[in-house]
Amino acid sequence: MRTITWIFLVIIIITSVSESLGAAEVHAFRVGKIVTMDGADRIINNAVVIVTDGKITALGRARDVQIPPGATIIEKPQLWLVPGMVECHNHTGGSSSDLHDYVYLTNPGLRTLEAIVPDGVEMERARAGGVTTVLTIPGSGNNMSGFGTILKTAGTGSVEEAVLKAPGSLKIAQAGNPERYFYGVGRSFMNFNTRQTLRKAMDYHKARTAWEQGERADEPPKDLHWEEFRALFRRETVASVHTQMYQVLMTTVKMVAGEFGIRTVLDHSTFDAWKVARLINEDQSIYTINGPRQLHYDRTQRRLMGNAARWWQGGVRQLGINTDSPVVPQEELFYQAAMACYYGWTPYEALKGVTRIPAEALMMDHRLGSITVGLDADFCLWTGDPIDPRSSCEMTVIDGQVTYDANGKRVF
Amino acid sequence: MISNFKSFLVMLAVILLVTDIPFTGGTSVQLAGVAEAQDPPRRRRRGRRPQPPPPTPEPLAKEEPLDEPEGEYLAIEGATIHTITGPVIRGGTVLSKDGKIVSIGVDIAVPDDAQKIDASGHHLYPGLVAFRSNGLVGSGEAEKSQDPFALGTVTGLAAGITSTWNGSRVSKLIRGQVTDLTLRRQSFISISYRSGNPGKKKELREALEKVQEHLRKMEQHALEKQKDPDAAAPDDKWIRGPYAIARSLLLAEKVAISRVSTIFDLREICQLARRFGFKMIIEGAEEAWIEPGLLARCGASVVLTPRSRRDRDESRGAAGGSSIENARILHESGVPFSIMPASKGIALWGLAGRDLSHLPLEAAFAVRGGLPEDVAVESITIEPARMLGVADRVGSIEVGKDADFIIMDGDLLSYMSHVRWAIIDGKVQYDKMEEGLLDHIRPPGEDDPPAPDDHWPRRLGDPL
Repeated sequence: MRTITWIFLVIIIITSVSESLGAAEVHAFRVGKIVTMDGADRIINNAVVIVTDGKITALGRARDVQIPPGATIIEKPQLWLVPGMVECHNHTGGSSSDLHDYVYLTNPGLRTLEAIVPDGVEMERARAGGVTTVLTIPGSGNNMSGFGTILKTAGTGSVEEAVLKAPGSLKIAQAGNPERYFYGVGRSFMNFNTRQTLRKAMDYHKARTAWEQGERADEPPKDLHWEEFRALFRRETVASVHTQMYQVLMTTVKMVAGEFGIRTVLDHSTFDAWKVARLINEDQSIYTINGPRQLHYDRTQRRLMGNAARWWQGGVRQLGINTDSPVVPQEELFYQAAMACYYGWTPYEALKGVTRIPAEALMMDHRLGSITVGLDADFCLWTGDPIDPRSSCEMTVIDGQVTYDANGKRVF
Repeated sequence: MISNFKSFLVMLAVILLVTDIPFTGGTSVQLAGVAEAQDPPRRRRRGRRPQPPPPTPEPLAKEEPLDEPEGEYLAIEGATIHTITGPVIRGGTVLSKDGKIVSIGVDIAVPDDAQKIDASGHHLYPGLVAFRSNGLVGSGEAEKSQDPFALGTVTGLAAGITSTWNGSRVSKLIRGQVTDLTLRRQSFISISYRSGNPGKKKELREALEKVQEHLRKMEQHALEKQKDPDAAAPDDKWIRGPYAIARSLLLAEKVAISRVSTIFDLREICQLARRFGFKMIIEGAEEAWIEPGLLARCGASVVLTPRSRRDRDESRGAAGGSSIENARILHESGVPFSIMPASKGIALWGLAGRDLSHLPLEAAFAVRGGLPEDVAVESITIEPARMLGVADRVGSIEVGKDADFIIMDGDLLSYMSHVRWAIIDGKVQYDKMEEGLLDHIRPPGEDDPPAPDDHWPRRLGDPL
C-alpha cells in the first residue's frame, strides 16, 4: 500500500516537472487566406500562422514559414483566418439587473467587474459569431453608470482569467435615454450633474496626485467613488460615451474630451450625428464606434442615410461598429458591418471597424485586433467574407485555444 | 367610503381589461382558441369563395409570334434572368405585353415600339413575395385602407417586394392607386394549440370532434335521403362562429395558421392536423429541426426566420432551442417553407437588417446554415406565392405570369446589392435613381460618389 502511494507520488512529481520543463505549446494554422488587419493592411493567401503559448509568433505564406517540429497542425486550406472581432459596447456577460445598477443619476463608483459571469450562452453565441473580446458596460438609463470590463469570450476559467482589463472604460450617457430616470431629467440638469461629478473626480485625482508627489503633507482619504477615475484622467483608460444626435455629440466633444481631457469613444453616434464629423476630426484621439443604428432616415432630404458611410464621407477614419448587445445580438456584430456596407460603406473598412479599430479605441491594440506577431492568438476561421451572412465562422481560437468548433455543434 | 367605491370600480376595470372575462353578458360561446385570422366576422362571406384556377405552368417559350402589334410592351434586355422555376439565362430578354410575360429568351423578337430597359450587368428576379407584412399595403378593403402615397410601399419596393399578404388580401405594391391591387382575397384560420394553454387546446379539439361527428351524420343523411326523400336533415343551426371555422377546416375550405415553436407543441399540433386531416401553415417552428420528418408527415408548410433565437429548455429532452441549420434540415426532409424576418414591417428608426427591408439577407442566413442558395431564393419568391395561393400569377419568371420583376445591381443574396428597378404588371414602380431614397449610395458607374453637402458645422469662409 505504502509503495503504491510512493510510486504515485513519484509519477506526479515527474509529470509536473516534465510539463514545466517541456516544450511550449505550438499550433500551426494552415489556411487559404489571412486578413491580417495590420498596419500595412496585408492580405496573405495560402498562409500559415504559428501560435506559441497563446501568442502569435510567426505568420506568412506557407512556403516561407517554417513549421516548428512538434507543432499541432490545423489544416484548413479552404478557410479565411480573420482577427477575432472586438465588441466595444456590450451589455451581456452578467445578469442584466446586476450590470445595470441605476441608483443615482450618476453612479461614479460602480464597476461591472463585480457582476461578470464569464461563461454562458451569450458568450458561446459571441464566439460562434466570431467575437472574441467584449467590453461589458452598464447601460444608459442614467448619466454615469460606472466602469466597464474588457473580457474575452472564451467561456472557460475564472473571472480573473476572462478579464483583460478593468476598468475597461467609464460609461457616460449624455442624453437620449437618461431622461427616463424616474424624476424625468432634461439636458440642463444632466449636463450640470455630469460635469459636477467629473469635476469632483478630477479634484480627487489632483489631490491624490499632489500628495503622492509630495506636494502636500496630509493624505487625502481614499474614496471608492473616485478611485477608478484616476486611470481615466491619466488617459490609461477611456470613456464610452452614449451620445447621439449632433447637438449632444457636440456637448460630448466639448465637455468630456475637451474640458476634462478624457480619451473619448463616441458610442452610438447615430441619428444625424455625422453632421459634425468636422469637429471629431479636430481631436485625433476620439474614436467613433457607430451602432446599433446603422440607418438614419433624413426627412428633410427624404433619403436613407447609412450612419457609418456618412461618418466616413465626413473624413472620420477612426470609425468602428458596435451591436449594443443585446439590442442587436452579440453574434451579429459582422452583420452590423454588412448593414453599414448596404448603406454605403466599404467591406474592408467595415471589417476593420469590428476588429482593429475597436481594439485601438479601447487601447488594447497591443494585444488584440490584428494578426501580428506578439499579439494574442485570437482569431476565427471563416468560410469566406466574414461580413457576408452566407459565410460562417467554423472555428474560434482565443489565446491559442480552440474555443468553438462548428464541426462539433454549430451554434450560429 | 366613496374612495373605497372608486377604487373598487378601478379594480373592476383593471380586472376586466387585464383578464378576458366576457362582461357583455351574452350567451354566445367564444372559443378563444379559434379565431379567423385578420378577418372581422361581420364581413365573412357565406358559402365558398371562388377558388383561383390551378397554376398551369407553361413551357418556356423561346419565340412568340408577334402578330398583334397593339398592346403595351416592356422589354428588359441583357440581364442575367433568374427564372426560379426554370433555368438561369445569361444576357437574356424578358418581354411583357400588357402586364403579362409573353416571352423569355436570348434572341427573341422585340416590337419596335416596346419600352426598353437596358439591364446588362444586372440580375433579374421575380418580384419578392413577403408571406405577410404590416404597413406595406393596406390591411382591409383596398379602397378604404390603401395609402397610395405610403412610404412603406416605396421602401417595400426598394427591398424588392412586389406582393404580400396583409389582412384579408394578397396585394401588389402598386403606388398611386387604390384599385386593381388585389391578387387574391386570402385569409387563414388562426389557431392556437400550445401546451401553455391546455384549455384552448381542449376547446379546439372538441369543436373539431363535434363538427366532424356532424359531418358524418350529414353523409349518412345523404344516403338516407336517396331511400326516403322526406328524411329529416340533422340540425346545423348551431354551426356558427367557432364551429363554422372548424367546419371550414374539416372541409379543407381554409388553411389553418399557427405560431408554434417547441418540438413538444409541434408534435401535438401535427397529431391534431393528421387526426382531422386539415392543412396548416406553421409560423416559427424553431425546434422543427429536432424531428424534421414530423412536419413532412403532416403536410405542413412553414414560415421560418433562420436567425430566430430560442434557448434550449433544460427541463425537456436533450435537444432543444433554435438552430441556424433549421432551414437546411427541413429542406432535406421535403418540408416546403418560406422565409420571413423577425419583424413584419419596415422601420426607419435605425435598427437595420431585422425587418422586410432586408428580406433577401434573412434568406442568406439560411444559406449560412447550409441551405442551397437557389432554395433560399425560392423561399422568398415562389414558395410564399404557393402558400398564399398566388403562384399562378407571381413568384417566378414564366410565360403567362404577371410581369413582376426586380432588377438588382448584383446577386440577390449579397449584402451590397440594391434594387435598381422594381416592375409590376409591366410598369416601373420603383427606380432607384429617380426615387431618391437610396440614389446617393453606389450610383451606377460611380464607386465613390460625392457626399450630400450636409456636413456641419459650417465655418466662416465655407462656401454655402
